[in-house]
Formats: sequence, structure tokens, C-alpha cells
Amino acid sequence: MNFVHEDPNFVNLLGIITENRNISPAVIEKDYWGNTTLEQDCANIRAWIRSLG
Amino acid sequence: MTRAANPLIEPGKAYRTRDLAAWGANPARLAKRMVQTGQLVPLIRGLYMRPVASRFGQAPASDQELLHAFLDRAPFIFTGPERWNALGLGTTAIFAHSLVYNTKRSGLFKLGRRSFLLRRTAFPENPPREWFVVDLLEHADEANASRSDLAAALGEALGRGSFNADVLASMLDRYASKGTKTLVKPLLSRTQE
Repeated sequence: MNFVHEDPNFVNLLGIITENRNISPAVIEKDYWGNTTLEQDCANIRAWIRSLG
Repeated sequence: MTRAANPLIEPGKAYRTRDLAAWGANPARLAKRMVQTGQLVPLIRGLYMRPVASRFGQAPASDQELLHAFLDRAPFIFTGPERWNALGLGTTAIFAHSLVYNTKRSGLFKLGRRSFLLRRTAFPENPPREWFVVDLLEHADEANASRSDLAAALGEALGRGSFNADVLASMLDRYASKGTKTLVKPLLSRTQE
């Protein structure tokens, strides 16, 4: 799986969102990591449920 | 084509009006024209940036670049929750604006859509992680943390060797208040035993 934060332009993306949405880059990045972690957890749970048959 | 008609401004850089004097006798008029043609984006009176192309679209100049121009190349460092949280001492708060220590200005400044809380204060040129520990302890209330919880976490981190005790002692001597020294010195003597 590829993540947006692995892109070398990720810092530019944070800057663009900051400019467009008027939100601090720190808040955007924290929100990104929260969502990414939750998404990963959900994927793990789905895989576990599938493994139960 | 005259030099003023085609100034060599770099993408991703910030410029003060006077920086444009190299390309025209009237830098204010040149800046105005470049804003009209979309080459420059105004941030605050007398400060502009040239966006940089990225695969996500036109990206703004970095915080570092903005502050570099705004503070006229005077020394500054970024501190605050992003650096404090990375120390692993249990803080998780974040600010709506970036905290910047510098040698020129104090106050909250909005540069374009980004806000920076500037504080004119003493800081090392290349701060080690241990300086950020001292900075966090000095501003524990702003980080929504209790100084005693931070001291406990720091004691454990020193025990694990996460910080250099000698460097921390040196940063304490130079940058900490009396209260912070009193809080941390017992932890250091325990580590050095």
C-alpha cells in the first residue's frame, strides 16, 4: 500500500491545504496521521474478520 | 526585454519589496505588477512569495523561507508543540500557529494564511534535543502538561539514555529558569550516579 506521506511532495500538499483551508499545517498533519492510523486499524480488523471464515 | 520585465525570482522563495530593487528602479510598482500577473502572491505589506509547482498543484513557499524574508535574514528557530511532542515525554497538544523564537520581533503575525507567534528571546543557534526539553519545561502550561508529569517522564527517558545528561545540564545552566533547574537537577544527579 502506498501512502501520501511517502510522496516527496507531501510537505507541499500540507502547504496547499494550509493556504486553501486556512488551517495550521500542524493540525492538518495530525489529522492525517489520525485518519491514516484508523484506516490501517480498520484494514487489519477486516483482514482478521475475513480470516475467521 | 528589460531586466524589470523579467525578474529572476525563484519559485518557492519569499521576497520583500526591497529585494526587487535589483530588477527595477521602482520595486513597489514592480511587485504590484508581478502580483497582477500572478508571479507573486502578497502575504503581508511588503512581503511576497513565489509559489512552487508540485504534483499537487501550486504550493506555497515553506514556513522557513517566509520567516527568513520576514525577519530580514535574522536568526530564528521553530519550537512549540511539534518539537515538544517529538521528545516522547507524553505531550500531544498542538497550536493553531507556529511558535518561532527570534532576535527581532515579538507578537502574532499572519503571513498570508499562516500565522506565526514570534517571541524575541535567547536560543542556541543549532539547538540540541535537550534544549527543547528545557523549552518544554519552561512552557509546560502552554503544552497542557504538568511539570511534575514531565519531570517523571524525563527521569525515565534519562534512565533509558534518550537524552544526553551533560548536554541537558549545559542547556539548563544557560536557558532554564530557577524553577526548572530545581526540578531537573535531581534527575540529572540520579542519572550520573
